[in-house]
Amino acid sequence: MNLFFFLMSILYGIVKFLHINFTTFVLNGYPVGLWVAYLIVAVVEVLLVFALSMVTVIIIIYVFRKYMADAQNRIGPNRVGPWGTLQLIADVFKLIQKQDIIPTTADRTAYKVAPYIVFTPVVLGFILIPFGNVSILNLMVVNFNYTILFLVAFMTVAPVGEIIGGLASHNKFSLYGALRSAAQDMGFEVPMLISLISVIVLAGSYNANEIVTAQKYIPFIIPEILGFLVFFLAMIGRQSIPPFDLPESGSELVSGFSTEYSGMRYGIFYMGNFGFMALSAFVVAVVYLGGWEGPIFPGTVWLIIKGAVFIFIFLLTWISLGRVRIDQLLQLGWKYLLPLSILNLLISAGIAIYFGGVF
Amino acid sequence: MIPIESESSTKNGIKVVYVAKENILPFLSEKKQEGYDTLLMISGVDYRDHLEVLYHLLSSTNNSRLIVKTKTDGEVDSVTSLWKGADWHERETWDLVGIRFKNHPNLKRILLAEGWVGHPLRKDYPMAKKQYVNLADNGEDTVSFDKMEGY
Amino acid sequence: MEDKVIEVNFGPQHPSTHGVLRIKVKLDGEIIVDAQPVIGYLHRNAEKLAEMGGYPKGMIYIDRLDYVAALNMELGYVLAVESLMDVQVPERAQWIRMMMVELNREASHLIWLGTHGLDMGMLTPFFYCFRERERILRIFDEITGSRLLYNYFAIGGVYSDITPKAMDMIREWTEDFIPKLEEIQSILGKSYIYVSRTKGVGVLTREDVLSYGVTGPMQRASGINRDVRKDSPYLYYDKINFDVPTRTEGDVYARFLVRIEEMRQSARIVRQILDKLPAGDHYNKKYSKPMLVRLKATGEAYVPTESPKGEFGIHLIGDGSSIPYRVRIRSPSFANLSSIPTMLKGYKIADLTAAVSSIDPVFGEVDR
Repeated sequence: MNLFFFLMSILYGIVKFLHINFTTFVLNGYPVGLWVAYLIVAVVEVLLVFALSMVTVIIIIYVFRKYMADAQNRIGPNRVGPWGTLQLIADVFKLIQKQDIIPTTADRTAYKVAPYIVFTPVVLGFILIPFGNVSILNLMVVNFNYTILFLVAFMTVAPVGEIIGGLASHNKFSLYGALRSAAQDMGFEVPMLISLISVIVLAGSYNANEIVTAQKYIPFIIPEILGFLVFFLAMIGRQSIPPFDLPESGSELVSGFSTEYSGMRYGIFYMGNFGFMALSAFVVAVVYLGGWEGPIFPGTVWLIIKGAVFIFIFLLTWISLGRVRIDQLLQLGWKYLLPLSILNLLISAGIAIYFGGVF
Repeated sequence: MIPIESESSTKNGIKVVYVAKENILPFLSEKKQEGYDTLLMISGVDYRDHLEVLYHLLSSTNNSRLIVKTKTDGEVDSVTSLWKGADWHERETWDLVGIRFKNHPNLKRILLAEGWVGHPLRKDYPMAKKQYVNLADNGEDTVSFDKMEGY
Repeated sequence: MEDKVIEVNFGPQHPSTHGVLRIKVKLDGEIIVDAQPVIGYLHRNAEKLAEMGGYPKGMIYIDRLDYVAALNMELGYVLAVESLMDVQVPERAQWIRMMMVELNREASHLIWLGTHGLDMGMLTPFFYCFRERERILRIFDEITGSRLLYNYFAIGGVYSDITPKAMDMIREWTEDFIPKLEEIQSILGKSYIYVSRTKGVGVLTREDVLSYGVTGPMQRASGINRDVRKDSPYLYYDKINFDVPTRTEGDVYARFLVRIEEMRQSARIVRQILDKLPAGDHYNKKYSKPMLVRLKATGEAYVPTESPKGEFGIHLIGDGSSIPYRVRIRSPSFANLSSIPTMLKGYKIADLTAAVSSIDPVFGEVDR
């Protein structure tokens, strides 16, 4: 049942996203067989991306567990598979077997849907990441002019699932988790968008691939170091990982929005969070570090290296920092990040006017 | 100057003072003025024929200790007006020994569940009697004598 | 939600209540309007239990009061019984007791430091603290044969002598511990997030501390320089050099610094005891085991000791039989915990965990 719903949402996303190509094909009078074939290819591509994102999540969770264990004088997973690599698979099987407990007072539909609202956009977001040089091999599943906007839209939808789950649980701790999630998202979303706009100003395009090609000589991290810092902090905040894990905040709100969740629904939240981590690492790499641009190695390798660096930094902050308080978090978002991002937008507008052709 | 009834000391040399139970509040406030600013604990002892309340005082200035005792038949003036910390100690003494404190703002059981019958530190407390604590619908603990009640 | 105040139950099942504390919190948004602690979920009535057997038998219940610092609890009971019966204790036994108690204070403070980090959202210091505590527990295992509840102090001495291997372990530990402590302290104390979350949070003024009868590190963080080890020395604390750390801020950060410094001083005490440990018997032969059950006493005694949480004392009243007439336990956490309403009013939910963990409550001792 869960899996069915999940696949349905994937297919729904595909149809929605191929709509543009779809209409183009029909209007230009291509034969029916061609666009059916195109649709099949697209579905396969999407499923590949789904597999890719799942593999990424599995790798990240494994690395996270091992790395955290190493930092804390532990061994970490070491029983299932060689060096414990299959631990997550075993965990997923265990979670699927578990009883799915839904509180009697909960809003059942919203409660059931919430984990997928977190998870589905994260997976769909991978469709829009340019995994390699498009002119050589089309590794970007969907390539149209507004990819970066859709990427941001997906990343905005994901935390809504946390809010819905928290409100639907009918639990005071969940309610507080949801409220914190809402406050935190608003606090970080605005600076994130504004610093993204300054990148769009410099690149002159909404297309993720063109943003990458615009960084052929100088990655945007150099002219926009301020915007990068704002964006990166906002990304940590959007993922709700320590030090900004307020929606969950294990020691204060029991488990925040996911207090009442158990079994595979909790597991989907968990994997959704790590998927979000991977997605945001890739987005930062694409927007500020030049994505697949790089010498010698093929573009995909470069993107994965750059993404891995950011994932490593995310994990490092997770391991080493404590949790901030809600007022400190909102102060950071509204009092520091927002003005800095606006300042950065002005700077990049100036750069775009003076050196227009260079970037 | 409040009169003291008698004076002795513990085996390790802490002064013990007996005060009449009517004088306990003025006596302790006088001692607080003298510098015994910390109330370490309040305890009750059941001597079968009478109850005693003990106040352990400590002075933070000259580091001296004093134990004030009073004989009672079950009711003493509360000293919560002098020390806020007396609140819990008096509730505990009421809970376990069954000494009632007059003018206490919230004299309820603290360690045992509300509705418990008897005061366990009394010497005549029936040890064989079983009481069961259950969770009521409003989230508070209740006491019952039937094991299966509430299940 | 007509009136904006929401009532939330923190506990008794909650990850940061250090056991079974329940706090009824009234919240206006994120701000705490009122907080009332509810205790008693771990109540065994140790006082009554200890009044039901002989004097040595009470030890097993006293052990289980503050189960992370069981030796400190045992010391309070043993000293009270000994002063009630005028038992002479050999010098070596007293020194051993002192060393064990200081080691256990370290173990208790390490647990506090780890769980405090956990409450502030840091997982990593927890493991470092438990790694260090594990070494202390291994020393205890070597000396007493147990890891958590020792029943090691006996009336008239200690149960077994310290082996040379244990001496080596302790010496090695004293050399290693301070750099490790610096490392753990730097994880928390040098983190801007930690410091900004704890400074000015959960403040207890000097007057509050006196009014609530708060003792121990919490009291010393609020500017009252009082330590039973210095003020009325028991054992041989008057022959040892150590400082009593004091701060005046009275907030969570001050308590953190006081406890860290206390750990340094404890290590210093252990180092001095290792040099001074005299030879001799480890228990008074007059009080060998068959003798113990026939111990009788009259009169009363109250012996205060400095446990990791504050002033721990046992008031013993004997009626001439071999069973204590009244065993009254002064538990420091009980008094410290009663200051929660003052500590929390007006702060935020996140400060609740910080403030509660800075009390370091252990519920075996609060509920008895």
